[in-house]
Amino acid sequence: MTVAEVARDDTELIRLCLDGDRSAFDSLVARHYRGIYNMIHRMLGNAEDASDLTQETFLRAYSRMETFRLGRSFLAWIRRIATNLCIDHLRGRTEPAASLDKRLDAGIEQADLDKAVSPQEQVEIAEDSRRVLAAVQKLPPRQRAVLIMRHIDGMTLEEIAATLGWPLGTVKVNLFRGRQAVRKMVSEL
Amino acid sequence: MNTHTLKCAHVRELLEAYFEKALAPRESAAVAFHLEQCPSCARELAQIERIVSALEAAPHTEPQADLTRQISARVASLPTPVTGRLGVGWHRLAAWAAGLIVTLSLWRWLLPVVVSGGAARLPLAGWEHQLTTATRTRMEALFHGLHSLWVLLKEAPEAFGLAAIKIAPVVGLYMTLEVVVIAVIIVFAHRTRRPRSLPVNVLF
Repeated sequence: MTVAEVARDDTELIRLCLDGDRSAFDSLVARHYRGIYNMIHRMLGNAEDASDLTQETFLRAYSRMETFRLGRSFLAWIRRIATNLCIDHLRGRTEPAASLDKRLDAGIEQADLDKAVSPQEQVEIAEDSRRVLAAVQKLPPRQRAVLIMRHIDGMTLEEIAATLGWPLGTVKVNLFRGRQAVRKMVSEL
Repeated sequence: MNTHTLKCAHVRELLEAYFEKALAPRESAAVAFHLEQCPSCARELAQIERIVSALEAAPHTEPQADLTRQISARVASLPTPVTGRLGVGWHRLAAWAAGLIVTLSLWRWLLPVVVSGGAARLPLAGWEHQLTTATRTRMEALFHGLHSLWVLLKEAPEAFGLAAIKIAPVVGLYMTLEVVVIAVIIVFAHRTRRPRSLPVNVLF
């Protein structure tokens, strides 16, 4: 299914939802919750908070459905809601996510099982990812959001700007500064 | 830009943008040339690539199995969303409505000109009075409408239902906007000192 087809189907589901069909919203949740959960999990580094904020994201989307402009990308809209919730959440949190390393190690080990690389390379990749993701967790919320969207979710700079409603220059500045800071943190380890 | 004169410090400032292919072609070529000659800066670029590879290799995590069920349960406790058509672009609608009101307020005045295809001269004599009378009448009706809306919402909100209560602020705002537009028209009509008669083609 192409991106355009997904967007068209999302629009149909939103129409049904606005006509009072709650099951249409359940379909939207089923379609997007994994991506949103992963994005939030990487932003927060904590499964419990990620689960709570994923729920909050969809609840907010549902209660503000009448403000969604039909024909636009639902995914971009809901990512924007999720990112703003994450940024607000991170601004209110002072301590780093305690369980991050453990969860990342578990996830990386699982993810690397399928790769056709030597055990030594697997260890190096896992160690690199662990260090880099740990450094990303220390970035300011806006830099963290842009870095995750760019390199983990694979979005273009223009897509990030459209999703977050920021000027392209602001996205670039946050990406470049974020990456520089991660490089510095990783090299100091 | 002379590709041979770039200093390492300058190249390192440009490396992030170079990696994103966000530099102008000449600048990008200059950085590429420098990187071929300078192992130290090339190592910096390799480090960016390594960081990006590490991020791209980050694993997906699977959410808890009953997350969708939890979302559905919480959504079920919310009221169904109001059909969005009224909420979407209401400010644009209000702007169009304000324009329409101004046009309607003036139609008696402009009608002879429109009917004659622009040949007639505008009946400028006493136009301030005509305009003021028409707009004052409309403003009185608006104030009356706003007052009635306020009293009804205050006294018997349950009679309107949830949808009407959500729409009421939009209606109230629209009516307030109309009052402001009309007030501006009245002030304009009072203050303007124009010749009593002008050729139509001067005004259009």
